Amino acid sequence: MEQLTLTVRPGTAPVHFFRGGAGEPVLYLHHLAGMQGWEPAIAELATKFEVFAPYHPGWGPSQGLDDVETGLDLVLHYIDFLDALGLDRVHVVGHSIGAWIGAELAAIRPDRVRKLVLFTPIGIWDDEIRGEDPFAQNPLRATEVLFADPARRENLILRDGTVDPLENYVQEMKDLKAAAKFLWPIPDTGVIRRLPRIQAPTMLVGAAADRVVPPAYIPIWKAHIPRAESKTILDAGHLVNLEQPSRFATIAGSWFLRPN
Amino acid sequence: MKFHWFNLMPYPYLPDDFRQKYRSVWVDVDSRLYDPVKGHRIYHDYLDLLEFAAELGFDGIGVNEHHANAYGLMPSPALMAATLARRTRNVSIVLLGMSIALYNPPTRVAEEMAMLDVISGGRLIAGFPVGTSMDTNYAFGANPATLRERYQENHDLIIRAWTDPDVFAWNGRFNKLRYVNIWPRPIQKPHPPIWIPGGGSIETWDFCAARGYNYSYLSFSGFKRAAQLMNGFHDRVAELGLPFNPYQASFAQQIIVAESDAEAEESYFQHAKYFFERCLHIYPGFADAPGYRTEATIRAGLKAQVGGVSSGGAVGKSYRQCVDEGFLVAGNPDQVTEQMEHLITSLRVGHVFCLLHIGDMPREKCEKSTRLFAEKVMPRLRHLWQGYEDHWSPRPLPPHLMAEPRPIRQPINA
Repeated sequence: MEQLTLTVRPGTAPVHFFRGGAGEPVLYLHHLAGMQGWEPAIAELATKFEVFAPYHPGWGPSQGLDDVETGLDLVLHYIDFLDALGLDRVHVVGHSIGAWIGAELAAIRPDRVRKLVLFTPIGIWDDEIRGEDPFAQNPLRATEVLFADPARRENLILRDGTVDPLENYVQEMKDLKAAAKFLWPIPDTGVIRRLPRIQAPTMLVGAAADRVVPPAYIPIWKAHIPRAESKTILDAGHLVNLEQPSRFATIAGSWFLRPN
Repeated sequence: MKFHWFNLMPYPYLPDDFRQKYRSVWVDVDSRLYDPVKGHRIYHDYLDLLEFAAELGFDGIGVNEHHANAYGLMPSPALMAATLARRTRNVSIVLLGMSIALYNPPTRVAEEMAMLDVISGGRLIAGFPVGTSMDTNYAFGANPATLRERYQENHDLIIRAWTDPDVFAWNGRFNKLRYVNIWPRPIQKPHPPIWIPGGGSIETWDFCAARGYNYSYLSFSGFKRAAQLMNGFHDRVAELGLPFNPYQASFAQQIIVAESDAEAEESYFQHAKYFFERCLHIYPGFADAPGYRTEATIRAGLKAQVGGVSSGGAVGKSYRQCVDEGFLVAGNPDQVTEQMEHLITSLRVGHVFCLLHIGDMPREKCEKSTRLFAEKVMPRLRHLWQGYEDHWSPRPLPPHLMAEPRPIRQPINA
């Protein structure tokens, strides 16, 4: 694994990303609370694939939130990223807000996406399915709501305790601010109108204990994507990758390896 | 030294078990707690109190903007200011203010404030708050990731709308207007004095210092905790090589004046408890949306304006603790004068917003303490900051140009 930076277009902030493993290329698009480094789920996926895991503009060490205003900007950003890496077609695994970006990418540029896996996708709103507001949480425990078991946040987001609590707090607020830019105040992105354009075989994965995107949203996504299947993971909240890393990697990996 | 009478206009009938039964006084507070028939009387009591304060010689009377809450019943402060402009003569109308990031297009603010300045004969103070996170992000749905940029652009547009005599086009990031040309235009030139209510945002210091605006610090944690922030502002002015002037700074303080310290505690303190325990009972998840505070402000360890983690600081404290720690300025007129002098000189402020109506205080009690303050405290503090010129108060029309509204009469057929 290596941690790299890449300027995809002159004058824009460099993309910070991880690259590791060997095999067919996979683009991992992280959830609304960012990435905890080279996470176990990504590492496991990298035992079978070459995985590229960038921070979205404005998350983690990446700057450049001011350069992106809309979902289209994010899609163009990732097309530029793939171009800069010389990657023509990739598998895409998107999680939470990353699933939205991945779905937009696959809808707008179907030629660039081989297969698609969307974990706990956010970006469709239904008045009858009220999840919790991920942006109206106690700021000192802002990401607790993203876990099936809130106590797991301590282990999974707050890392090893050597990190300054203020730095953790600043980072959580920075990541959530970036997510809010695209999802505030209601995460209705309009992607539902574009989903029928997706050509990649798509696996939709809900989490049984997801309080932010209740699993009842999964059938809505599935109904609008032409070649979609779905699964539900038990004992996981919105951040499936952190609570069930092995299930996360196995589901994505076997979907990518499955013959068409 | 200048004194302004300010009323938050809280709803005074929240139940005793409000803290136990409801999670927040703001955003998702149960609207079934509001009785509009009682509300009718409350508005008139509160407006009467503002007019009463004007008669007693306060320099200004103040209103402000909050949404979806029982803490302050003024979602449209311009409406309140409009009625006060008609029913008062010499007092400043302190509109503190309209949350300029929430108006689309913000030329609406330029228009309404110009109307108020013209109706009042040039008595308007124009406050430009960002607004609390509860008001802006949650109640009005403004995106916290861009709220401050929107605030900045709207500010620039309002100033241009007031000062550019020609029709102009505005091609902003948040506002696109082919024709900007507001009517009417303000009496005060180039525009009414601008006051920036800031909670704990350090960027506000530079903004006020660089632009020559009044920095108004609003806090319910009292003046002793405010020293760090007010000094931060004064230090920033000095660092920029600008002259110190106390009238460029103002502070809001809750005040109780009674005949005796014992009366202040026995008769009045219950209303402050109502305010601290019910009106500041804010769900922390609504106090500070991600992005509402800048990274620099978070790092400086400063709390959100109202409802930050520290807002419950006075809950459970005794009268004596509240006075000793500065949450309240309270006591008999001598004691209040002494505490106010300490506040004014330690914070180096030339304007104080006197929050003499607190929580569910009934009108009669408030009139009594307001009168005591005006007659027995204010005159003994007026001499402070003599020698400094106040560039931040309105410049009204001379008396011979002031209109005289028709007195209210009963209908002829009544």
